[in-house]
Amino acid sequence: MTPQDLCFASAGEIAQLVTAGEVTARAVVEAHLDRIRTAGRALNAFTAILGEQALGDADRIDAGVRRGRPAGVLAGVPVAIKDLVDVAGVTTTAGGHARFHYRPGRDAPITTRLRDAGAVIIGKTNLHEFAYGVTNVNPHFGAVKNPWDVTRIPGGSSGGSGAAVAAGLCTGAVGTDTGGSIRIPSALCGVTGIKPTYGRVPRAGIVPLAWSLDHAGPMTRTVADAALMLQVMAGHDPADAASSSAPVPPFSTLLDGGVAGLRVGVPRRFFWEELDGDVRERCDDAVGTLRSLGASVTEVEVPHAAYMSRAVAVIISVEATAFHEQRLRRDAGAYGGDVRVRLERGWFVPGTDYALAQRARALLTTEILQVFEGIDVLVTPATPSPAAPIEQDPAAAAGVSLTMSLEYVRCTNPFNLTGQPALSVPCGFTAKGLPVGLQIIGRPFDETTVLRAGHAYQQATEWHLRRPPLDGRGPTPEAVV
Amino acid sequence: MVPLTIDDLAAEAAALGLSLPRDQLQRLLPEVERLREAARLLRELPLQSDDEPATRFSPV
Repeated sequence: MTPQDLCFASAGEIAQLVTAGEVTARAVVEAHLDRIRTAGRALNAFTAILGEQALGDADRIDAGVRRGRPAGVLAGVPVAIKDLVDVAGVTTTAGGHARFHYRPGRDAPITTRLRDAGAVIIGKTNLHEFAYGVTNVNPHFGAVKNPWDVTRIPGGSSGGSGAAVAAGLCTGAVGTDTGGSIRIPSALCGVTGIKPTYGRVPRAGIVPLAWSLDHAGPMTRTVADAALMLQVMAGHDPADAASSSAPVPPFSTLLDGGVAGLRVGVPRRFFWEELDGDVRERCDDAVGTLRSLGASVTEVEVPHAAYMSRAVAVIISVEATAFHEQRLRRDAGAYGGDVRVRLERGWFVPGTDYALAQRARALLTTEILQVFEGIDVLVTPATPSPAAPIEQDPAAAAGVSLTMSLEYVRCTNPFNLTGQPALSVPCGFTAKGLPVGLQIIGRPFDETTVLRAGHAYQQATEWHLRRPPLDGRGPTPEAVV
Repeated sequence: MVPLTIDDLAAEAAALGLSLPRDQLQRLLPEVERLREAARLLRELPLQSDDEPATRFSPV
């Protein structure tokens, strides 16, 4: 296997090769570090590259393999961690101003779980400041670029994770998702990402954005790898009060079985309205593929769909401002323009409006779960449009960020409100070569069905196997911000 | 709904003990209006019924 092949190998392949002693974890990590320093330079996907630490961890895995120790299901797999999540001894920046940084003494539980499974933490990924936005134009660390067109946004807030996975800078990455921050960059970067059920993956050691909407999950190139990472990351942890004790199925062994007979609901109203033409076509094609694989596709109505994003807007505004209150009062000027506006607007939401939005949430969740009495999964476009250009004018960037967020989260944030599992899989490209994502949503704690549907789709298509035109074929880094 | 003005927002900010410059209030105004409109629309939902589900602060 060439170094480039290693950079685009699946997690399952890498773990198998490393466990068998056919490839060393060091060789895998070196290949990725080299790619980060070359092809990856144009993307600005990382806030920290943990080169020496990663090589040391790889050497320990290789030594264990030589001694015959069990190496773990992610043996030698390079994983990047969104820089909102604690990695012991490495500054957690949250993409914010240096005055807000801190250096955790221990890993977040999900970081520990990944390490225990043999993953090598290769770096921390750039993000929208405090995960509060979708452009990933970060005023402190610079803009992350989309690997398919470096003049465009990768989506966010886990944009560094999406770009890094797409470009072969890591095999998998951790993302977080409060309104779409795993699924939006997955769609815009052409990778696979799942926001699991609320409570499925513990969030201790992760800087909050909005407690009742925050989720963490994996971003990978394939559904099979997402399943592998998710089963490692999932499971109860007492340090997160919302963490669920529900048993974690062995997701990666439950992928096969196809979609024959699966009841797929298509909510044409709201979720399929006001779409970019190419996005609509590619997502329609994907629904056709699911039908051709034997799924039973029906149109369904999600009652009050337009109200879901409104409830999210009120809830996120209040919870985010509550978390940032002290910093905001003390040092508002240290926030970027768009995030400062988002945080300060929360001062002006009455408590009664917050409680109203939570009441609405209960109603809207009940209503959508009633829709699921007649279907197994719901499918929608992950985003209404493909990756937008990066705003070049710093003075205009904040305003663009504020308006752009409203558009990109429309199909994703309803499922942060309801807490349902939602997966984005690549389902084609626009005429300009930009990736499009299909979102597959399931019942609470039924990630198994969501992953099975996504896996069946990837077994029948090759969109997830395409590689972005880096290595000199894309625009030169000097041409962009 | 009566449109919110910069002076209204400035007064609310003062009541909250916040000292926000006028250009920042200008940036905040459309966002605050949008959130209030969202809340106004949420009041259209059939929440005032005897069988309203118990309100939960976590979704599942």
